[in-house]
Amino acid sequence: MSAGNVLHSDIDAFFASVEQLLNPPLRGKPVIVGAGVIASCSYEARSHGLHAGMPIRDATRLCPGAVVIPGDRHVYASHAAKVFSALESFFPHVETHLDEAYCNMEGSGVPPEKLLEFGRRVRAEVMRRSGLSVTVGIGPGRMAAKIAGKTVKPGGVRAVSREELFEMMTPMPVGAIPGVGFATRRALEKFNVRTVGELRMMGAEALCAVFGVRGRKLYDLCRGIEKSACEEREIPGSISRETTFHVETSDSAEIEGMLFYLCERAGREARRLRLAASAVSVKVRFSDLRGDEKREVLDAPTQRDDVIFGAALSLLRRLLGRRANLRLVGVAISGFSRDSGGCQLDFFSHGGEQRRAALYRALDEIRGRHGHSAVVAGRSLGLLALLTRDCHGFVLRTPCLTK
Amino acid sequence: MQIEKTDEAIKVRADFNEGGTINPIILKRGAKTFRVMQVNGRWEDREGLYRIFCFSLTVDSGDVFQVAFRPGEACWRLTCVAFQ
Repeated sequence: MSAGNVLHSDIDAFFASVEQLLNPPLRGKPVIVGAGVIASCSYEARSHGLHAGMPIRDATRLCPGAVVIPGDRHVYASHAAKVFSALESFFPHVETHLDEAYCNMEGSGVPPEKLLEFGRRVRAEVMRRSGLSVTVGIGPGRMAAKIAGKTVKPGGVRAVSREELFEMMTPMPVGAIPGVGFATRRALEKFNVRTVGELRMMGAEALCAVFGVRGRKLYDLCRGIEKSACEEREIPGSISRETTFHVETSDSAEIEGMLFYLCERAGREARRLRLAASAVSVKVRFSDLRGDEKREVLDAPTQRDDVIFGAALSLLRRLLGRRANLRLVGVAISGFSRDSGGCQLDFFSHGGEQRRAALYRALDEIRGRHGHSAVVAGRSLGLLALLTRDCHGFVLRTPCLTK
Repeated sequence: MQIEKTDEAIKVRADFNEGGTINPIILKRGAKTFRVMQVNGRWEDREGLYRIFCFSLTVDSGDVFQVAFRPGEACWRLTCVAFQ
């Protein structure tokens, strides 16, 4: 069983655990991390019914004693790096995400009967080096390892074989399969399919007829069959940046300045990942909490801030039709392709594209060397009077803790 | 518990060990001096290429201080205080 096995490690209540680690009086107390909604909460808070995504206003009503902390992405990233470095001392290939990692066990030489003991050793080493508790799952694939871990959260270790996984998955809801979200669940409910066992009764042809090429993957996954190797980094579906304003506003200069800043952040991330986006979407929420979103497909894939902003601005102007102050603005770029370094030239252009691309490369280099705040674009200058800055950029009201 | 974010200069007496580890021993904030009882955690942040060494410290008053050391400027900043 050890050949081709994957070890999945997941940090328990990640953000809240880091806060409890750095602030010992918080240990054993309900801790909420987030602004507006819960990004993470400690297990003490979860026992009161709190969960990620719940509005903090409701959470403090349910658990009045909870300590609310806005959180700091950079502190969490640094602690996650400690966990990943501990894992890298065991495995040559570690695929890392925000608070979880998949480790390829191929060639580790751990016999099947020693897998559990090995998992415990990995967990203890992570705890020793980072001070954080992780749950470890081991199985013949990414999904198997993750599902094994889920059954022993928090702080447990479990190893499953393919046969055990098959049995284990049968009564599970279809949502337990990675990639099965709200839309797929709803589509399956129409066929009265709610559990993995019921999904297995659908043939490959039927699933392909409903879900297209994804149908075949679903057919395999519900049987515990996976093909993706654990060191494969998938292209993200989208890169999004959004924030709530400190004071709800209808000032177009402030809104557009913020939109430009968010486009810059999204564009920089796309360039870092060497991706070019072919679609831009903008999301707004007004003071009465009503929201709207629009999407535009670009003429050619891009990673240039000015092109992203141009599309985003035209979308924003179409969205701002109401006489209400704006509470939130966000931008997302999607439809990625790998950037090959070249770009689609315009027949009538005079090399402006290359000059722009070189400009953004230079800006990225300056920001990489001196911090994002080293350069503020003219369009975002108005934000200087409204927001404070640190070395990572403007300090937003609801900073994202994961990006 | 009250948690206060701040960004102010603070005087720190620290051990700089040969292995590269830094151990804060005493903090002086204004006229008050605090003895470090425990280093709860240490992590690194970055300002561009420059490293910033951050520490979470429990001091003798029971409060938890977060301090940051910038080697380039050889200065310490207090970034957060959690009062008990």
